[in-house]
Amino acid sequence: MKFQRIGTLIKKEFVTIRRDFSFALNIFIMPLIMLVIYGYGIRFDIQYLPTVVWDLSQSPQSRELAEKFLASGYFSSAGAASGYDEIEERFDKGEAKLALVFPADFGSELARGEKTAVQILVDGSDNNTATLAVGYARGIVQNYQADLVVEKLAQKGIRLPFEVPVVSLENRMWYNPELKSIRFILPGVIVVIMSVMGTMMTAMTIVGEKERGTFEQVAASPLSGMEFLTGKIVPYILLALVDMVLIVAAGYFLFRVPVAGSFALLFFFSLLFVAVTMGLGLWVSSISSSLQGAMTLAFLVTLLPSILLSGFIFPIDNFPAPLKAITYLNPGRYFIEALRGIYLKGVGLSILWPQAVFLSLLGASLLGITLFRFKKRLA
Amino acid sequence: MEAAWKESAGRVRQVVKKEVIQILRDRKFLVLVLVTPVLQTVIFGYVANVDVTDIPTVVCDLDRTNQSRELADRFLQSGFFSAAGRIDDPREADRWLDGGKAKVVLVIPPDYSRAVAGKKGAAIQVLTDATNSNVAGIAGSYASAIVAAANVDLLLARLHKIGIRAQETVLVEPEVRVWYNPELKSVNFMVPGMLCVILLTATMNLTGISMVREKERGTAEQLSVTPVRSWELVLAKVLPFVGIGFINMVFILFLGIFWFGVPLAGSLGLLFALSGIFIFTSLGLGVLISTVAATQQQAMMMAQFFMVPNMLLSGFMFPIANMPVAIQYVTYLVPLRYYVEIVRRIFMKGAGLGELWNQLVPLAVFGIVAVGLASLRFRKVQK
Repeated sequence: MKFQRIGTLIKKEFVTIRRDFSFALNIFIMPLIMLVIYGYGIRFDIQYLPTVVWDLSQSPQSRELAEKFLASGYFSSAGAASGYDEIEERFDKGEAKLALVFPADFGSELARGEKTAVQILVDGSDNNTATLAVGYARGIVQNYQADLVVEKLAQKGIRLPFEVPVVSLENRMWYNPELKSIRFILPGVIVVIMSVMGTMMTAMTIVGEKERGTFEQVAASPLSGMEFLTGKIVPYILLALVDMVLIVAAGYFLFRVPVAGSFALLFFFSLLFVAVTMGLGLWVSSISSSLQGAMTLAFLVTLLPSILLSGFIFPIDNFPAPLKAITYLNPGRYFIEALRGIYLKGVGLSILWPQAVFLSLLGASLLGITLFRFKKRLA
Repeated sequence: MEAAWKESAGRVRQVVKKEVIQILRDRKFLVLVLVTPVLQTVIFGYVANVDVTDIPTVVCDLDRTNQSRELADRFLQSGFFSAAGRIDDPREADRWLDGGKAKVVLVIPPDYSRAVAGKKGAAIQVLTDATNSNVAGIAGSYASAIVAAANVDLLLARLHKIGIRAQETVLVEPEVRVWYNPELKSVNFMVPGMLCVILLTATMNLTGISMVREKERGTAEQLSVTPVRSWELVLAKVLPFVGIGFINMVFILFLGIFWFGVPLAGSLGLLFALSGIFIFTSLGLGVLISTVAATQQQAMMMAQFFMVPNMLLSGFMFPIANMPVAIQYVTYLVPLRYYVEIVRRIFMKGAGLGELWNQLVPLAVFGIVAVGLASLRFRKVQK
């Protein structure tokens, strides 16, 4: 290994990168776009979900219950409707997501003390929002029921010797009290960008040489295989780390999200993760002959698992067992856990050591296998 | 005129043949292109499960009475929360949530049973790991519904105890009906969206790269001295990928409908017809990228750069209605948005052409602009 040669190669690689505007797009602008889109928010809780009311009973009771929905803050009025057709039309146009239907005898039955029902129709085409809406709607009706009981007794002159609600809930959201999407997305953006940098770029640059036939030239040059690979990879490791720092800085300066734990530990995990993704990139480039193929394969082994199987968006707890098992082989999973731990929970190695161990094992075995493959080829 | 058309069609056919041979020869690539979408759909179908159930929950019951156990059971038997352990000290909640071994900690205060029988009432705490805002929101709404139901039961029981029989006097039953997706299954929402994203990747990225390859290898010049006209060349390069796009679509639809049981409420014919328009748009974008990019690597990076806003802002994963208003306006600039809307409406609501034209028009406009720009630029590049 001659460091001078590697240095020259690194310089050459950086010149190529600097000349190419499309790199800048992906390296610096894409993470910022992702941050801005998510930073200014995708809400994961519902607020003012547009609700129409079809009130066939026109009674004080129905108005009172409808009022409770609007007062909860989860639902807002999108006007009145008269008929299922109209409700469906409003759903189809996206003007309403929830509809309350009070039957004609809603008020009179309640007044007589008989059992009655209110229909709650939910547009289920976005099932996430619908799930939240159903939970809150049920809660509101239950609370209304309790209120009715108390009111009824008060009318009869009975004062309850206790306060209602008998039991109340204090929902505390840890690490992210306002359920802000920026806190959810920051670790995710880091994983995605570093995967792209690590695997895609590495695979691209090496397969590019292969496809252009410059790979053989290297074999004929005094550069050894290891020197060549090191020279090609180091720039991307550096860029990946710069990117990580950039995202963390943007998160802090634009959105006031500090790193709750140690930055050094964050850096350490990033380094581990980059090593693993580089290993994957090398592996991809060792088995692909065309850029198109390399790109598709890189997408399959990195972006897909780092977005879908890492727990970034979809909770691993919900996966079926075989997929859950696969996630243990997914470096993105450990990195996401580590990032969330360090970034949001502020925990240290005493809790995150298994993640560090697994990442190191994955990285070491991948790099080992692929370097061996390359060594044989370039020897 | 007719003869000219025939000649032209003949030339296109020849180039298409060459392209198809080239694609078929690269077996690895072909397998990847055909298998990736299938894998993606399968993984997505299983993974994209936000029907949050069995959230690992730790119970910290400081009261340890029948009443407190009953309340804990309401949580654990709801199907939404499942027992991950028990703790006796609320300070241990840190350890469980920090380590990620539990997502929710239910804290029942030591005076719970006295409080629910007393004057003031009790307050219980639900601590939720909100690092995944999505799951946390859902857990919160479940918890509030469970506690509201507990409240009613406790109230009625207390009234009963003091001799007031309120059970029969009042009852409002919430009759919840979820339209379009009665079981609230997330596959029903995700698979149609997935179809759109995969189709965009398959058509835009691959065309962009395939066009640039010709440029990079210098074979573009060779083609320019042949009698093939530039628009014929574009058409011929694009056609095989239209084919791949439709094959991918058939695979995904097959998996979605038969494997995951996603109901298709609308017309399959309409779905294919409108997908044709989308493919036209995304191929236009692919060709446009190819005229700007000098190398395959660049083309790939630009395509990827373009994919990100398309995925984030199309409503494919996160509903547009939940975005801030300013960003909602930006989504109108994203072609995938219209297609996602079209596919979801056909799938879930059984929409017909009459209800879809307001999505179709902007999509087609995008397509015409993209193809127009692409062919203008392409001609210039050729000269």
